[in-house]
Amino acid sequence: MATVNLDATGLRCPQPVLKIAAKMPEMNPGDILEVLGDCPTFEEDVRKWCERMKKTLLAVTVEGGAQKIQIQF
Amino acid sequence: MSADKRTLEEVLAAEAELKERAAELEQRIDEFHNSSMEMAMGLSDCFQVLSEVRGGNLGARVSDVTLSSSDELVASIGRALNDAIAEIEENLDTIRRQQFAIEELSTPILQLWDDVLALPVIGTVDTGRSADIMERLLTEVTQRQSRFVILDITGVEVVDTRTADHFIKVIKAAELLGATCLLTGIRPAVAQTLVDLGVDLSSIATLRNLQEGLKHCLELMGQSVEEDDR
Repeated sequence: MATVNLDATGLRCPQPVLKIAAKMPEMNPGDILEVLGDCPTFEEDVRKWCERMKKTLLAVTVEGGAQKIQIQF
Repeated sequence: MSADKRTLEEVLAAEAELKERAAELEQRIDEFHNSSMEMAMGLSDCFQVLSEVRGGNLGARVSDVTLSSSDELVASIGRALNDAIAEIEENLDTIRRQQFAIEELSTPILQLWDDVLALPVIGTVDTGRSADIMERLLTEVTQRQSRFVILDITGVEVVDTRTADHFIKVIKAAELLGATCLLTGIRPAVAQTLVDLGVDLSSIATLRNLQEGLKHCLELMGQSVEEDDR
């Protein structure tokens, strides 16, 4: 299992979601994607995305002025 | 309707329009966010399939939901683009109207005294604004039959030969209508620039400030400030 980082700070939704989607082919089952974002609707949109794609949202933490979301594939 | 009352009404109308526009924009942002998320979800479905194919599942298929909504996905991308373009055009239109309102408000024509109009100019004066000032001032002079016009340029920080030429033309035009014009509020730096540039303002009566200008007008009308202050 690998952990992959994705910086989506400075991007307005749905760009972070699209970046997560573009990462999908690189991810293997069990891998964790850590996404950093600061869009006001970042968490809400990623939650919707995880629900639709049937991925597990592990945690949401705050880092400075941004949020870090961990998604398990 | 007086110019002051009209100016106040214009400000209130502009303020109300801005509030309404802000509320509309908030709603549009929400709508745009929702439609762009739908697009992102549709594209995510496609990436999901790519991901499964990469993982060896060559039989991976795009879900029925995605397939049935692919037309809608393309249509929503088109709608989003059209909305974005329409949004930009609307904003440009709003900016142009506000710019026009600001220009109008930045050159109010005030009735300082019976027969005395004041035109305080703020900011830069280009050819377009000069034409606007000229038209509005001449209309006011004609309507009010004013005998005096004070062009106050305290709020003008930079004057070049072209700006000075605009002022001279405005003053000459008002004088042709029978109004006596004064130029007041020339800043020291502006005066220095005008001298350096060799701009000839000898044909224009200049006074230190608006107050001096009004006093001068009253003297010419045979009145004094002291008498009227009482």
